[in-house]
Amino acid sequence: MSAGLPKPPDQLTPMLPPGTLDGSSAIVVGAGLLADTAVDAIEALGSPVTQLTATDSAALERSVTESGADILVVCMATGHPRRSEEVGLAGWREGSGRELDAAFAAVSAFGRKRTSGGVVLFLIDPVAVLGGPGVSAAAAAGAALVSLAQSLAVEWAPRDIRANALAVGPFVGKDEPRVAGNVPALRLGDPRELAWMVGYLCSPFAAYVTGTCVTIDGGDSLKRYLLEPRYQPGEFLLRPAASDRA
Amino acid sequence: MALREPPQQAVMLPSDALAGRVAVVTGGGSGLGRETAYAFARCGAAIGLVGRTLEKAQETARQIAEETGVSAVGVSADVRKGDEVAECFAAVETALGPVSILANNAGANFAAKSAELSANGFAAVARIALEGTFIASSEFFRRYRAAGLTQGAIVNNGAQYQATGYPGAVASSSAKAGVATLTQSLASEWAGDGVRVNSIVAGWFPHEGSRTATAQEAEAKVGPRIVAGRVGRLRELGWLAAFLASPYAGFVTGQNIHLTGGDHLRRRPMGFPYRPVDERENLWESDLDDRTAVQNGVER
Repeated sequence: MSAGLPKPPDQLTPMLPPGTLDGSSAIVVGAGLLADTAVDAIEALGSPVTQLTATDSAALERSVTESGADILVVCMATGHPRRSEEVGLAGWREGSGRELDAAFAAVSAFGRKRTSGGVVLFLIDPVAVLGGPGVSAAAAAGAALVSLAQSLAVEWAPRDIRANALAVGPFVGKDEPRVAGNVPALRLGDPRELAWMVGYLCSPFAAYVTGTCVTIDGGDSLKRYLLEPRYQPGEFLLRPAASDRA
Repeated sequence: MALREPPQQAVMLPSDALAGRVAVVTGGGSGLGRETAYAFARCGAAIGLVGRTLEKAQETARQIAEETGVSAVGVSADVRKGDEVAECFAAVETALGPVSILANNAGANFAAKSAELSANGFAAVARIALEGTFIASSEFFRRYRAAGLTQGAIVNNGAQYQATGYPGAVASSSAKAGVATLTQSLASEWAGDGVRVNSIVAGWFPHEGSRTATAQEAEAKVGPRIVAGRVGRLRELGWLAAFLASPYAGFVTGQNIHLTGGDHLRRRPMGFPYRPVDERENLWESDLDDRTAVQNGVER
């Protein structure tokens, strides 16, 4: 009987030395599990965090400019599946387009403000890497952030500012319902595991990690079979049955 | 004008993060493999060190045991030979117990124009990187399952040219591309059994023991050519390897994680000067004067 990837023990010493982020301060943009976990992870390492949920670009730009933060984490929402033809320009502007605008405004302001030393981290969905039928706007905006991390990594390395993306797969507590049995790990991610990766990427232990996109998903973005199940048009709109939800 | 130097401390994870585990490291006698073995040992794992030469592997194992206090044994194998790899695993198991961590670090590379590279020359490089990784991984997994273990981790050794290739390295770059997808295939194949498979795509990590230059010479030459403004420090690689082997990375599998200081990225929209390979003095290294920078008023 396959048990899948084991969940980390409940009692585990914190991964990084206490005070790893002493002297830093952070801004986390976004709401929901990703943002909340990032806030907790960074605070636990000794850095105060300001969480901003507004996606108004000008306000965000101001907040980043007025802040002395040297860590900027921007989270992107995915939303519920919907046909792209129904989204339209208005849907893009209300949703992922607005978030992308805000993200660019925030990092650009961050780059103007920081003379030396900093970390930019985008928390996105793995659909950004492989496409996301039904959530095409979020996938496109997430892909833009992966590309942005690559560009900023080169532009700002001389000022010791790193930029990375972390694609976050099926985790307990995420808005999108997921079925644990559909994931190669045979379970959903534990938010502690997300916190450990966020902590690492924001820490000086990752001082040489820049311009990357790491996926943390228990293997969810990997192929399972040469031939996957029969294709059903519109299957990307299906939701898991309540009884199957984790 | 560079990414900061990492913390000085040798260990990132708690010192017992891998306690009770046994790790096999191929190519462990020098360079990145040696560092990976040290990183595992500093987190408490017992080490089975596989080298090409027995004496060097045993000597490195002895040093690791002495400096970190873990048990360590040195064995030798050609990773292209399944029977030799099986004997190594058997010896490590007998000495230390069942193996739940494997780092595939054995590798080799040399510059050669493809038209002048023999089939044997291609095989010598490609088989160590790709077949060697497969042979050690499948031996690891058979024994892992036979021992009834429920959590395991493999850390492979990628290279940034696995996604780009480059002239004069057709064997290594194509083999590393193979390692990249081997990492994904095995991750999906063995997730049900609790084994995670990832690969570190390392940039420049000069080390003593390189045949071409000392670490210091390599750093002086390479550092200024990298976006980061410096080469990687071995401990940075060790930290990531130990993290990926540990329970803290329990949901991370099938990943090719770049540790390059930005060296894998496109540096500018306009490409760099190109010289056909037959006109190059050095197949791998550009010494061309880059005139494009002047027009843009960039400081040189």
